Amino acid sequence: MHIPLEVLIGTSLALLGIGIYGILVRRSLLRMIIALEIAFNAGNLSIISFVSHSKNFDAVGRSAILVLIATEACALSVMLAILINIYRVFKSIDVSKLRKLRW
Amino acid sequence: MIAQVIAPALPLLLSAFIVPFLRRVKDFDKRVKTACAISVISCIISLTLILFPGSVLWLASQSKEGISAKLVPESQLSKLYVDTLSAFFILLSLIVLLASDIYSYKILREEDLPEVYYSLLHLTVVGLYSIFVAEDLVSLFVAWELMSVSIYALIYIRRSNVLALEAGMKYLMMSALASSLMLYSISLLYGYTGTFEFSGVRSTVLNMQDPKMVWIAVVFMTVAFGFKSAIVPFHTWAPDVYQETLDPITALLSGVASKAGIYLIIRVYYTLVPSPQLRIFLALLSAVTMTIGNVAALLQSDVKRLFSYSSIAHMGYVLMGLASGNPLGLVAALFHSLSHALAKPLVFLSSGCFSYSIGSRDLETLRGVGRKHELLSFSIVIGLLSLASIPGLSGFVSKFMLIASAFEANLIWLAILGILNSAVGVAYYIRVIQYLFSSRGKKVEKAIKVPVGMIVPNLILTVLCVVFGLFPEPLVEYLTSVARQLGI
Repeated sequence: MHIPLEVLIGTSLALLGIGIYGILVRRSLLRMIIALEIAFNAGNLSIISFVSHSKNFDAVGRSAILVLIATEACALSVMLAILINIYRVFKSIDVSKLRKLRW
Repeated sequence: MIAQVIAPALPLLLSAFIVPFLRRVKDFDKRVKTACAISVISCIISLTLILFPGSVLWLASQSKEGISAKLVPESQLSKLYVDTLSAFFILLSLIVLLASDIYSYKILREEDLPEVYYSLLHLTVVGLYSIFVAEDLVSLFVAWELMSVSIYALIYIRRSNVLALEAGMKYLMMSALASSLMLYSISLLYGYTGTFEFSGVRSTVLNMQDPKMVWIAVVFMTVAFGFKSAIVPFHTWAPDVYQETLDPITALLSGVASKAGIYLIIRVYYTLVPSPQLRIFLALLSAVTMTIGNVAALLQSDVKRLFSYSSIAHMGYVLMGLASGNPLGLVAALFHSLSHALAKPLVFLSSGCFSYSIGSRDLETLRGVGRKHELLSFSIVIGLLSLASIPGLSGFVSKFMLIASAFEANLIWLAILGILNSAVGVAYYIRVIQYLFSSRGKKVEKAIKVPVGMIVPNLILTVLCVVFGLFPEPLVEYLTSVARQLGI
C-alpha cells in the first residue's frame, strides 16, 4: 500500500518493454522464452497493483490473477516441450540457424 | 439456458478426450479410422445441436440482446453470453472443422502422424468456441490461450520436419508476444474500469468524461488481435506457417483462427469501447494490409504461399467494412468473413489435393494438372473466382457491400484503394487458373489418383460458396439483425 500506483504501473510498463526487446533481439530460444515470461508478468504485476489500490475489497481481481498465472504456466510448459524438441532436431537452440524460410 | 449454450461444445470436448485413449488399439489403420469416425460424428452432432430449432442460434436471434447464462450460479466470472454475432462465428468454425476433419484422414495415413492430432484439432475449436461465448476478459484470455496452445502443438506435430519446426517457432514467438500484449491491455482495461465483465466495462466507458486513456488499451488489444489475424505490420509469421503446415491445419488457421481476431475487434470496437474516432486506426490498418497482401501475392511461385498472402489481403477487406462503422459495413464485413472462411479453406484443400497428386507445390510443375482431375478443378475454380469476387459467388456479394459501405462512410480513398486491390487480386487468381489448365510445356503423366476422402470436403465447401452467392438474402437478413443487436 505504501508504493504509489504510478511507480507500480511504470515498473510494469518497463517490464513489458524489456520483455518485447528480449523477444525481438535475443538469438537464443531459451532467452526468448524467459523474455516472454517477463512480458507476461508485466501484465500480472499491473493487475495486482490495480487490485491493491482499489477502494473496496476486490475478490474477483484477486482470484482472476491466480487463474491468469495458471494459464500462463500451461502455455509455458508447452513452449518448453517444443524447445526440447527443437534442440533434439537441430542440436542447437540458436534462432539464427533456423533460417531456411524467407522472412 | 446454460444447457443450450454449452451443448454444441460438449461433443467436441468429449471426442478430444476419447481419441487419446485409442492408443491401446494396436493396428495403425484401424486407430486412425476410428479417430476420424469419432471426430466427424462429434462434429456433425455439434452442427445439428446448433442448427436445430430451439438451439442457441435460434434463441439468440429471437431475443433482443442475446442470451446470457452462468456456469456456476454464485460466481462472478463464469457468465457466458451468446448473441447472433457469436452464434454466426460458431457456425462458421464448425463448418470449416468438418471439412478439415474429413480431409485429415488421408493426410494422417500418408504422413504417419499420431491420432492425437484429432484431439488437438477439436481442442482448437473448443478454444474458439469459448472465445465466442466469453463474457469477461479473464475467460477470454483463458480461451485465447487454449486455442493458441492447441495450435502450437498442431503446427509441431510433424516433429522431424525442419521447415515445419522453423515456421512453428515463428508462430510460437509471435503468438506468445500477442498473448502478453493482450494480458497487459486486459490489465489496463481492468485498471480504468474496475471490472472484468464486458457489460461493466461498456457502461463505465460510456459514462467516462474523457475516454482517451482507454484508447491505449484498445490499441494494445488491436495489436494482439492483429498478430492472430495476420494484419499487416504483424503478419510476418503467416506466409511461412500457412506454407509449411499440413493443409487441414492451414485451412483451419486461415479460415477460422484468423476470424477470432476479427470477432474480438468487433467486440472491442463496437461493444466495449464504442468510440468512432478509433475507427480511423482500423482504416489505416486495412489500407496497408490490402495493398501489401496483394502486391506480395503477385510475386509468389509457391501455390500455398500465394494463397497465404491473399489471405492477408482479405483480412484487409474485412477491416475496411469494420472501419466504415455503419450497419452496412458490419454486415459486409461479416459476410466477407463467411465467404473467405468458405473459399480460402476450399482453395487450400484443393490445391493440397493437386500437390498430393503431383508431389510439388510449385506453380510451374502444377502446369496442366487441372485437366486430370475434373471435380477438383471445378471446385478450385469456384473457390478462386469467389475470392476474386466474380458475380454469382459469395465473394462478389460481400465485396460489393464492403466497397459500398466505405463510400457511405465517406472513406472514399479507402473504397478506391479497395477497388484497385480487387483488380490486382483478380490478376493472380486468374494466373493460378491459367497455370492449372495450360497445355503448354510437357504433359502431366505421373498424376496419382486423389482419394475420395480428400475430394468430399472440397465439394461441401464449393456447394456452400455457390449457395451463399446465389441466395444471399436470408444471410443478409440475419446479419442485419446482428447489427441491430450490437446497436449500430
